[in-house]
Amino acid sequence: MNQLMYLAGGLLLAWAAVFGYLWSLARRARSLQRQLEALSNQIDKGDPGAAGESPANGTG
Amino acid sequence: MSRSPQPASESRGTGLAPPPSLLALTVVATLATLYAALLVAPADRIQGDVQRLFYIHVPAALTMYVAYILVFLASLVYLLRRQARWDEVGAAAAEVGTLFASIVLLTGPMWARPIWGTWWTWDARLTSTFILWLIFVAYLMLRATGGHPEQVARYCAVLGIIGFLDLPIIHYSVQWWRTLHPEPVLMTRGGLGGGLPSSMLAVLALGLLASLLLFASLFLLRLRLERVDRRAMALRRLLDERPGSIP
Repeated sequence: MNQLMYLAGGLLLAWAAVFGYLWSLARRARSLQRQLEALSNQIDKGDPGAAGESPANGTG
Repeated sequence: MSRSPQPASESRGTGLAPPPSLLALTVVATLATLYAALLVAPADRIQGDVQRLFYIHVPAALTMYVAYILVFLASLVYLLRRQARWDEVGAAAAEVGTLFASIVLLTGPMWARPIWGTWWTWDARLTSTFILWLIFVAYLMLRATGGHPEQVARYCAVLGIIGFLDLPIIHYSVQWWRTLHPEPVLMTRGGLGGGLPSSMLAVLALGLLASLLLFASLFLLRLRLERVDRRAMALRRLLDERPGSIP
């Protein structure tokens, strides 16, 4: 493998890490959004059981 | 819609979304760094083109330092004051810092293979950096496993401080021990940037700016997510404790 391949590989790995992390943040934000909507429905209906599954942990 | 029960501490807005100008500046600085690193900076006389990874690897390492120093400060303040917001800052900085540590550990071997002839060697700099990464992976796993929030926050604060103690070991490892990793070219005994020609130093400075802007953007995004998540959990607890709720 020549030097340019290693350079390209390094850049690719770095960008994959950044975009992978951004994807993970977006996924967690979507999940949180769904939980907030469920909570909002629960409050509107006055039905404590309507919020669905309770998040066991934080966003991580 | 009826007003939901909310604790006073949860009623404030998060107000932490990264401003669009910061995001735009991050994109511009990142693209400019890529352009400058690949097309403007001179190729290294000995190492050739692969040395251009320097403009990603070194800024990522310095940003990792900044992130973990922030974790250390937030952990220290949390242990002294026990305010949840410092735990949130520590959690966000640790996660984004670990992203930058991962970038360091991924780009390093790609640079090392053609220059040293090996992907990895257990020398002091590489080993101490890997240990730091492991400490913060443990930190993130501890948060992910859950438990009593205050207990988790306390343990994580202690772990964050322990992780910070590795930073000076990493930095001075190349001076204290014989290593394959080169000595710093940015913070040298001869002064800041003394080990680099100005054409490389300018691109490195741009790379550092882009890396710090990326850190700031990701940190604010992550912190906002953490705060909204905790607010949602607090609200859920309040709803669950309401008379007539299903346990």
